[in-house]
This record gives sequence, C-alpha cells and structure tokens, in this order.
Amino acid sequence: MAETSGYNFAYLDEQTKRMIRRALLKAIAVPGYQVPFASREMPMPYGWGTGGIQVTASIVGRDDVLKVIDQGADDTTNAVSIRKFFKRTAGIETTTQTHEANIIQTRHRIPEEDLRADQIMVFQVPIPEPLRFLEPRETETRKMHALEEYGLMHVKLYEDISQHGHIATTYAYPVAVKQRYVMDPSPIPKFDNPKINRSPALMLFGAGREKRIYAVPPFTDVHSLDFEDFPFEIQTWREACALCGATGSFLDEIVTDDAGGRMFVCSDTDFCEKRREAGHAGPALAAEGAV
Amino acid sequence: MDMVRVRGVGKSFKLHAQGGAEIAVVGGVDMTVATGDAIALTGASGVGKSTLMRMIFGNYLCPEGEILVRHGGCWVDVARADPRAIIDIRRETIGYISQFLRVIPRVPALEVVAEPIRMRGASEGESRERASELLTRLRIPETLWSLSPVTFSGGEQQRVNIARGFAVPYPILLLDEPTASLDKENRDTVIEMIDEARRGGTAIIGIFHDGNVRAAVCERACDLTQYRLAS
Amino acid sequence: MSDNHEPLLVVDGLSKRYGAQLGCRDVGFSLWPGEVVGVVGESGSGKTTLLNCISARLTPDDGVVRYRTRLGTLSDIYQMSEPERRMLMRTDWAFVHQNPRDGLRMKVSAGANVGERLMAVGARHYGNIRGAADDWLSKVEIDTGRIDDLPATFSGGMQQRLQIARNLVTGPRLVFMDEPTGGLDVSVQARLLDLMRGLVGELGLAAVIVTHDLAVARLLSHRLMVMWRGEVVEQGLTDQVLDDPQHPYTQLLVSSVLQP
Repeated sequence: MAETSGYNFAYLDEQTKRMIRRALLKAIAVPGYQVPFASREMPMPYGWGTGGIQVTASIVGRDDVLKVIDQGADDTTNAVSIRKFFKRTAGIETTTQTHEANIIQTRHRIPEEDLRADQIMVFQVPIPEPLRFLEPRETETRKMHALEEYGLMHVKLYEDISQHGHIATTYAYPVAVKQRYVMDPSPIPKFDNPKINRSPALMLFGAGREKRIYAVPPFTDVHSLDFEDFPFEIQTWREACALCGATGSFLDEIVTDDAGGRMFVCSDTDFCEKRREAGHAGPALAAEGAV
Repeated sequence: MDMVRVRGVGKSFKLHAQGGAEIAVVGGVDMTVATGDAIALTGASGVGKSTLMRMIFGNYLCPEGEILVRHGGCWVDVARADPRAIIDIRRETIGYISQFLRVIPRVPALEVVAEPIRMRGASEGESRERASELLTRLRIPETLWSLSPVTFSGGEQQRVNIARGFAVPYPILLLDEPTASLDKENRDTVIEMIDEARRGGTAIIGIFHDGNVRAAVCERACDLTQYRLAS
Repeated sequence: MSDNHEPLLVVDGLSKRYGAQLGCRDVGFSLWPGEVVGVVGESGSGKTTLLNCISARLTPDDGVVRYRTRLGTLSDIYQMSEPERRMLMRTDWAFVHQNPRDGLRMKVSAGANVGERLMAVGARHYGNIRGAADDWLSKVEIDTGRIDDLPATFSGGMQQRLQIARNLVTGPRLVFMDEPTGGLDVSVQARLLDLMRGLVGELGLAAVIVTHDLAVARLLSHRLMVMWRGEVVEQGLTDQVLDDPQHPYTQLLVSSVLQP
C-alpha cells in the first residue's frame, strides 16, 4: 500500500509528538501514575483506540515493525484499520507475528509469547481511572492517588466476594505498581495481569478521550490486588484449544452452530497458528484429520 | 466530720422574658452537715428548699456564697467547680433523689438502676444483681424489670428512682420528697433505707412534706424562712 | 468520663465568616476524653459552621483547633499535612451526618460500608473484615442477614445506625455528629438515642453533638453550649443550663420547648 502524501510522518505533527513523548517520559518515571496530556482529535471516533494510536504515532520510527491486535486477533476490523493507518501515514512495516514486532498496539490482550526487552506494548485504554467505579469525583480520586488512599479498591473486591463467593472481576483487574500507584491495566483479562509483572518489555497506556497516559517500565513489580484469604487467581479452562491443543493459553468460546455446538480456541491467533505450524493439533483438528 | 458547708449562699432568678424581673429567693444561707447527720430543710412552699438543694447538686448556679463539699478527701466549692468536677462529684460523692424519674426511652428499669453501679466500674453481672435486690426490696414486680419505666405508675416510677439513688453508697445524699407518692408499706421501706444509709455515715439533706417521715428520718431541721429575701 | 486529665480537643478564638455573613465568632472550649458536648441553638446560629470548623472540614478565618493525637501531642489540625489530617479523619475521628446518604456509600453493601474504613487502614483479610462488619451490624441492631444488602433498601433509622457502625469500626476517639436524629420518627429516634448513649458510654468516646433538640442534648451530653447569632452565649453542665438558664436567649429556648 502506498504512503499517503500530505501528512507528517505517522500523522501527528512533530510538536504534538514532542508533547506526548514528554508525557510518556514522565509516565515512565512515575510508574502507574496517570499523566494528563493534550489528546488530539484523530481521524476515527473515540473508543477506537485514539489514545493508543497517539502513543504509537509518537514513538514509532521508520525502521519499526508494528503489530496490532484486538481481542488477541490480528484480523479484526480495529486491528486491520489501525495497521493500515500506520502503513499509510508512516509507511512502516507491519506484521502479525509477535516475535517480529517491536511495537505491539493492543486492545484487550497481551500476547501469549514472552515479550522481549526490545519490544514495547501500547495499550488502548477506555477508562484509566480504577477508582471511578466507587468515587466519581476526579478531584477526589486524584487526591486518593496522591495520598495513597486505596482502601476503596478493596471495597470493590470485597463486594465481589460477598456477592459471588470469589473475586468476580475478570478484566480491568486493578494492580498496584511498584507498591505505590494503583492502576487499571486496561480491559485485558486478569489472565494477562501476571504478564505485566516484571516484564522485560516497556508497557505504555494511552487513553484518548480521557487524555491520560501511564506506563509500566521494564522489570517493574506489578501486584494484582487481593485479600490474604482470597488470593489473586487467573482464569483456567478445563478444555485445551480446539485448534492447537494449547492448555495454558487464554481461550475464547466460539459458538459453532445453532444446536449448542461450541469450541474453545486460543484468543491469540498468532500464537495458535505458530503452534499448528509446529505440528500441534487440538481435538477439533485431530478429529478432522481422522475423518 | 463535716461533709457539706454552705456559707452565705444566695440565689435569685432573673427572668428576661418578663422584662428582666429579678426574683430573689434566699440569701445568706449557712448550714453544715456532717457524716451521719440527717437534716431536713423546712419552710413554706416557695421558700427555696428545692432551690438550695439543687444548688448543692450543681443543678442550679450559685451566684452568691460558697458550697463546700468534701469530695475524695478535698473540699470542693460546688459554686465554682467546672462541669467536669461536678460530674465527678455526682458519680462518687453526692446522690440525689427527686420526686420525678427522668426516664430514658427504651432503657429497662433494671438497667436504670444498674447504671450508676456500672459507672463505678462494677461488672454487668454484679450491677444487675445489686439492682435486682433493690427492686425486690422496693416491691417492683419482677415482670416489670425488663420494661422501660415510661409506662409505670407514678409510685412505681418513684420507687425505681429511689432504687437508682440507693444503688451505690454516696457520702452525701440529697432527698427531695422521696416518699411523696408512695403507700405506707413502701414509705416505711424507704425510711428504713434512708436510716441505714445515715447509720452507715451518709450525710443526708432532705425535703419532706410529710411530718411523720421527716420525724422518722431527720434529727434536726433547717428552716429556710429565716433566709427568705423580700422580692 | 475517664480520668484522663489532658483535653483531647482544644478550640480557641474560632471565627468564620461567609463574606458579610457571620458563621461563628470567637468560640473557645475544650473537650476531654469520654466527654460529650452538645451544641444547641436555632437554625443559622452557627452550630454546623462550628462543627465543620472543628472537624477539619471548613477552614476557619481565625482561631486554633488543636487535637491530642495518639502520640500525646496537641497538634493544630490546620497545620498538619493533608495526609496526616485525612488519616486522622478516617481513623481517630468519626463524623455522623444528619442525612445518612451523605455519610454512606449508597452503591455498596452494608458490609462493605462498615468494612471500608478497615480496608482504608490496611485490613486485607476478607474473613476478618466481614467478621468485624457482622459484629458492628449487631451492635447497632441491624439484622446481620442484611449484611449484603444495599443501604438504599434500609429504612432511615437503619441507615443512620449503619452510618454510626461505619464510623465507629476503627475505634475512633472523637465523634462529631450533626443533628444525628433529625428527620427520624420519634420512635426511631428513641432507639437511636439509646444506642448512641450506650456506645458513647461503653467505648468512652468523646463527642460533639450538634442538635436543635434539647431533649437529645439532655440525654446525650454532659455539657452544653448554647449558640446564638454565631456566638456561644452560655455554656455549662447540661442539666444546669437547661434547668437554670441565664442568658435571655437560653431562657427563651428552654421555655419554648415542651418538656426538654
């Protein structure tokens, strides 16, 4: 695809990128702290990842290789259009393979494959404020962050246990970053929370509508909040991936017909494909092969 | 040993709603009460008996003179003491039994009586036991103990009030018509209780309209008519 | 009252104006541990302004409010750092609002409402937090079977009792109450009063209670301050102030009520 002419490299003008980079540096310096930034209008609606795109646009270089995932998949509308956007405005190379990319923009997932120190994760964040559920006043939540008053976060977890018998929050599960700021890791499943902890990759979070940027630098302690008698746990599945047979990955449930047929498959499409290429086969493929 | 020394006490009320009218009650009252003494305040109605008693209890301000009370081995002037000191005196030194029980909604009779005992540090069990004894002695049927005295008859309320007043021993006891609405049997019991307290060393100051009760309880009288001020 | 001889709260020369409007002027008093002080007066007399000023909720124009912290030092609450002050407000102090909706989190269960202050000071054991919530609900006579219900499903009296439980769970030493029985039915009031009287006595709490109801003041407070046009016109032992009022306004106030 040809590079669109008439736009600055990666769409944003250089002054805007500088402004965003400053916010990013501050965010990295104060892990988990929400840094306000002058979010720009982007040529797509809020909710489509305008925060993540601005962060990516500010850090991307001509030699970078970009991967974009949405719900773990590289081929959904959001992922495809964002990839296309950067191809046209920056002329950079894109990929669907995790190990090839050095910038991975994401909504909802962190790849199953272990990340490396030369990779950067960029998260699209809808609501950056983890305390908002219980305290709608922004003035108050900022003060609570400043004074490290996080009791309220546990009130939410308490409510979960009292209503469901366990902590029922499954995504956007709050974490404490470096024993200081409580942060919403964006709407990733709690399954992915442990991947942020001491990750070698830099994690950047951009919220376009809310005009906030925050970050987790490499090798930072990230602790998922919990109770002593109700420790943090990730989701597990009884099934293996129907396609690749993986047992330790995050699975999506897919309804296959109107008769209640369903199967579980890896949400990370790249991970699943690689396993299949390597010769692994799940029950669905094995059955097919047997026919 | 002297327990109460009233010196030159005077009191008048200023009624601001009536153009600041001053109503003089008493002036220059002198009185001394010692341990084991029982003194009756006498005089016609309105002479200031209750007023003097309330000043000794700290319920009315005493603008003139001094009211010395032996409290914990020291003399304290009730007329000048701060509220905290008066609360302390009321808990340990001066008991006051009036004609009317100020009832607290929902608090059962047994608790009303047990409270002062507990305030002095007794356990729940101890204080209830002592309270039961007193209520029994004053013939309050056990069926009523768990009820708030709000619904009791005047005589029953009065007896609950007396039980509360005698719940803990006080070195000084102020009695304002304690037997007013009691039948003979109960009146005799109360007289007995007062006498026991007096023999135990309590200094008693009382107001009794009933001459017989007064004669049975007190060995001397202080007629306040002599201290009456002309308004 | 406890035999602690050091005052817990010392207020001196406190004044607050709202532009040309007077809030309160030159108020001074001390409060000792275990002591309950009632503040009475009509609407607009400055009671609530005073309460807000001494509870670190409204900065006064003039005067000093000092509080004896658990370390034993008397500290000016407006000179403390904000974290220190907020810590004090949610551990050592309690504030009971007239309208329970102002003091409760209406969108979380009764149990979470009680547990919040515990979690705020670092409690991280669900079972213990729930146990404490259970315990406090029974103390304020709320059926523990309602522990997971939202406060919105409670009656006004229950909400007020829940607010009290929520405030007392951290074992505060000083409680501020703003018309705690206002807006409740008489029978509900009686239950609440009895409860508060019991808790204050049992826990040895010091309290400042703002009320326009003299009966409430008589029942709960050891001492009384009468406010009129922003000033304390009379103060003293509660029954003395009510039975032998000196100031013209107090006399008017006392004579205006049915059997205080």
